[in-house]
Amino acid sequence: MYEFLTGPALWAAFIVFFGGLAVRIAYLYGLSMERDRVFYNHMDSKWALKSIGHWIIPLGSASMRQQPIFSIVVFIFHICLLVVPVFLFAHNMLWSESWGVSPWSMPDAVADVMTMLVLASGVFLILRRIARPEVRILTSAWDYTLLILTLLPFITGFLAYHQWGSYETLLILHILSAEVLLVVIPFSKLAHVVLFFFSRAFIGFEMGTRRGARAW
Amino acid sequence: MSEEIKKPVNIRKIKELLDMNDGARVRTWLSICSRCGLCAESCFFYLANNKDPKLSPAYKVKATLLELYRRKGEVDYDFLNRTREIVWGQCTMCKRCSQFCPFGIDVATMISLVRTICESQGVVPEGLARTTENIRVSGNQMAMATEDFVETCSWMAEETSEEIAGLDIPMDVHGAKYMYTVNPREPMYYPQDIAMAAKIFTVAEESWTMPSTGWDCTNLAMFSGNRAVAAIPVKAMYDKAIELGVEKIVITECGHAFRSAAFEGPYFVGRRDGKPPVPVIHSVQVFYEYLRDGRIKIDPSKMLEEPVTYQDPCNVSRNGGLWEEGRKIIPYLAKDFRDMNPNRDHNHCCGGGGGFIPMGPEYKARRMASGRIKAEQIKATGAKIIITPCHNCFDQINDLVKEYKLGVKVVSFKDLITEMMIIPEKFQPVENEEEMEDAAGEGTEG
Amino acid sequence: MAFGQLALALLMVAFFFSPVFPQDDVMELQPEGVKNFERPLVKFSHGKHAQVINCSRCHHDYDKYGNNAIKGEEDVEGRHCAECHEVKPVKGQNRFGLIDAFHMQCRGCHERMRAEDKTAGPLACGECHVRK
Repeated sequence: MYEFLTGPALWAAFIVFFGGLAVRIAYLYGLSMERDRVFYNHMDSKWALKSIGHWIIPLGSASMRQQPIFSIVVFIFHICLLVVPVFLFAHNMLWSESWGVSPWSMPDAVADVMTMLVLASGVFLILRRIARPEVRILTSAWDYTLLILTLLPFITGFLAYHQWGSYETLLILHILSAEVLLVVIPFSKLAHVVLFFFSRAFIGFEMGTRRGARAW
Repeated sequence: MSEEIKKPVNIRKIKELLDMNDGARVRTWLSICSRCGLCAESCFFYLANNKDPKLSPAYKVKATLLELYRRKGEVDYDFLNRTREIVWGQCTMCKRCSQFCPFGIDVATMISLVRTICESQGVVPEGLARTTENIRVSGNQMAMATEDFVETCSWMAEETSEEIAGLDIPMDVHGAKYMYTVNPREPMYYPQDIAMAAKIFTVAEESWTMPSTGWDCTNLAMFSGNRAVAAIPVKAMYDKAIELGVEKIVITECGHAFRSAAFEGPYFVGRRDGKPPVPVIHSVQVFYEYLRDGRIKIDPSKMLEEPVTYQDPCNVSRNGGLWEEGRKIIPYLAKDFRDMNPNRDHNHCCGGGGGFIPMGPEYKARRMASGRIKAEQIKATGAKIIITPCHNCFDQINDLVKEYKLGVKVVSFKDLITEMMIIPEKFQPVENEEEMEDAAGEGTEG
Repeated sequence: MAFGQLALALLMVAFFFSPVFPQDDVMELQPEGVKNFERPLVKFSHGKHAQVINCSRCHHDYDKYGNNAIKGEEDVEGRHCAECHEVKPVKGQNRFGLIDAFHMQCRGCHERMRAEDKTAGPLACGECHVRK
């Protein structure tokens, strides 16, 4: 099982993840050439970058400043979510064994804290979904599913690392859930990992180029 | 049961519209919205109505456009009627939510698409249906005949020249610098607005003209969702400007007219570059330049002493990019300026935009309720006078002043400038008839 | 009859160089010079391994072509990984760093054995680095 999940299944997951995102972007690009010519009339990299930048910096937009706690939690959530898997020593060990190269690794203690931050902020996001009426009304079961699916590799990874519970089962679940997540990303709202940059760029120059208005 | 209700919904047409607009942007927006709810607090409908979650922009899209795509356009009149109440009764397409969405999702564009779909089935607020029909038949929203318009202008010219010597309202002058376009309510109900513009242009010694056709710069069909009809006034205006060979088209103190003429109009008439054939500028730009360059001089003794605030019309500020021009004019006219909060491109819509005012009495109660945010903003400034360069804002705020007893006077820039400007010697009427014109500030619109 | 030969060889080694198995069953692998271990140290059953594989497989001395200079029967007593593998790999020397060397040695072998369909040791991190 372990060998299958870290072998062919991992290949498949990465291919679907990168391929899926690439195909989706290519498809949307083609569609935009046909149906969204508006898009290209006012294109301006300065406004696009400003629009992205203000939403990547913590509290960089008026909207984030309106809900500072939520914004900071979301920020922590995303940073840890991206950093932990890429710079985790155990993952890099595997990269290094397979390919001879790996990214820089951070100490396990840091990864441990960041994982707890992912989980804590994830729980916060779930509770916020339930607690705030304007969010609850928008939320469907699928939104909870995706959020839990995002947290699952972290929960299982955390438990497996500390060897709380059945190690073998947890590790299998860890790898499996991460692979499912990778496969789901390109086909769900989680595609915002890349589409964020496109939609932000668009509104940036849409409001900025002709009008000088801020989209943040 | 009337005939119309029995007529089945044209599903094919809805499918066609959905498919036509199923582009990269709409797809991306609908699919990546993460339901974070941040847009809710940007929306004055939501804020003014006890934070009803159904008034959050994301929900409005979810309940309308997303549902239309989900059902593949197979909807009934019941659905369309409910949708009408959302896309017209709960949104002014002010675009503020786009600024507050982490993904920059353009809700207004999607609401606009839903309006087009509803309109295609004849499901549209009556007031807008009427004006749309007027445009279709006559080319302007009030179905005013060309002769009546031309006559009104020459009547105004005649009357105003008693005040300012040599004043004229030139008509169809080839090669003029500016072609001045107006809102039909000016020639119809408030002709003194045209007179005021003429005074300013005359004193500034501007080369300008009124067009006998294409003079209606407004575009309520843009808000009713009928893009074909929306193209009519825009095309008439562009064609006339090209025919006359003017340098620029000037828009009266009206917000949505500027949005239509400068930004959306080019697409209505199929200009792929998205730019009008002749540059379009708003009155606030022209007035500011006159004051800055000293072409119009203000009598300092007439400057306003009372606290003054400024209402940023969405379609002049956020969607027009001209928030600074308005603010730069004010120091010439008033001593005590107090800005609203939020302001400039982050300003709240007054609640009268997006076609709300012409939607008529059946929507008035809602208009007043959701205008509470604006009323509170105004009250917080402590201002006694509010300036706004937009007809819709003007009407809405006038209604809000009554509804919320704000004790504020609403004026346009034209009102103030004509009242305060120094009339140079050469424009002083030769025979001094002691005939006082009604104070320019009375009953006129911005 | 590889197993027989191996067993025989091991017996011989055991006979002549009995101190080879002082740690006998289970020893704790502690790479010299490495500070701050991220995971619990590995409890390595030396005896068990010695029964099934050649000493030189681990106590190796590869030349640049990957040929092992140490043959099975030679004296490997006291040869530690850290003698050749630096904690941080030295540029120009075609050797793994110490930690990598350990991982490649254990996990690499386990993987190969599994691929050859032989029952073999664990692959996952926590299966070697067991927490108490």
